[in-house]
Amino acid sequence: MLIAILILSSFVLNFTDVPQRIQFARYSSVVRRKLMELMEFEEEGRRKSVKFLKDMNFPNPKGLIDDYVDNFFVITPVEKEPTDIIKRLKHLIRTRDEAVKKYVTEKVSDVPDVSRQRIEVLLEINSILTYINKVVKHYYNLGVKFNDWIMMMQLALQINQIARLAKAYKDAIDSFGLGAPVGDGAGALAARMLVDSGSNPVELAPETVLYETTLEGRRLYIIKAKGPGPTVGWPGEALEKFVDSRECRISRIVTVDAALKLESERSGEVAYGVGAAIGDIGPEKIAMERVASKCSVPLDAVVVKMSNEEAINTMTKQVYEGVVKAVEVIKRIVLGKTKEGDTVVVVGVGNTLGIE
Amino acid sequence: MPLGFDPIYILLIAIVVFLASYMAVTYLREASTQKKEDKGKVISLSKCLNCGYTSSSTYNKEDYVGRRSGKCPKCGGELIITAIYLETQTQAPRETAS
Repeated sequence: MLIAILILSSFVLNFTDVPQRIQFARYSSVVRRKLMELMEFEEEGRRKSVKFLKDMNFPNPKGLIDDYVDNFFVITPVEKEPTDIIKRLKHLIRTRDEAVKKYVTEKVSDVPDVSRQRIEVLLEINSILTYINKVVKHYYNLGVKFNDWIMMMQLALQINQIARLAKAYKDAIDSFGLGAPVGDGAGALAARMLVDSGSNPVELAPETVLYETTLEGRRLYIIKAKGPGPTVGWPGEALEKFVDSRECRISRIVTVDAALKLESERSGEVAYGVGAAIGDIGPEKIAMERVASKCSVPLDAVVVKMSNEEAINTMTKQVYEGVVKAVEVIKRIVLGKTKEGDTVVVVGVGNTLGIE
Repeated sequence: MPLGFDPIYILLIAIVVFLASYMAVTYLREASTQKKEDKGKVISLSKCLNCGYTSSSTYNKEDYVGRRSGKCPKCGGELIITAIYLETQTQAPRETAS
């Protein structure tokens, strides 16, 4: 009897699809459970955003979010013909930004810039949560439709990371609603910490300001997004304009930004190197590189490391301590690599929410 | 069988015990690795521009870095918010590459 059962089970395990079907059922149940969680994140995010907008006396907040989600996508420019691709990409990004700005200001007139920027971020987060949900549902439905157990297994193995990211975005709604600096603001905060309290900002590019200060005989120009609203500004364009206005009479450019850490690294670790520290998709980063190479100005990069979740949520103490260290590193670079009377530009990159 | 034990039953019982203990261990391990959420407290740090006196307070929605937050209790100078961050009770583990 025992031998008969062993032979039968061996046959079932080796020569039928039964094990795969069992695995498929297990993996699809894992994905289904996580999908429910993702849907809850999306709904909770929507609820919180509606409440936040209601508190701001915004008329019909639900309609505002529903009309935004799924719209305002950007089709990336043709890459087969790379001539002026950056110019085209910049144009598309600007067009989209203007469209979003217009969408919000059309719905509510006389909205202050800081509130408008916050609303734009909330809409963006809701859009991301919906998108994540839709993509996961798409692969789940495909897997079920074609009995694709490999696809289902891949999805089940990745779903925890996806859910972690979605949760970070859901929590980010609270953080942006609160108005305190987020982890991504590390670069902007480092730049702000270098500014004297008496220095007045000058708007160089849209939503981007310039401060002037001194450090042991060096003239320091600080570029950062205009706070305290949640914006990243246009630091590349601002740097380009400023260096051109100075006819390249700059000794050094130092860029500082938040960077994603590897799992083995600690939050708040500071590292420095060469290049433009900016997580931009192209136009701003290339503007920095171009202006530095055109004027043969050394370009330094200082980064504060953090996780994806920390980058989009309220700045933690560890990240803040990293910012303090980054300021020291910037000062060391300026004092060690330039001489008295030199002019240095420091570009603080990142979202300037809660940082003037 | 002299004692009345069928080997099939013994095998089935062993399989059931193994599966039950496997599921229990998996559940317990998952439950123990799940971090309890610590919301923490958002702190605003203020510094006196005159004497360097620093103070910390609970963040309120009007606060931002660079905002003048009042008078210094020591010298009467202006207090300015220099940092805002989230403080949690649990410190993140110091991960090292092994």
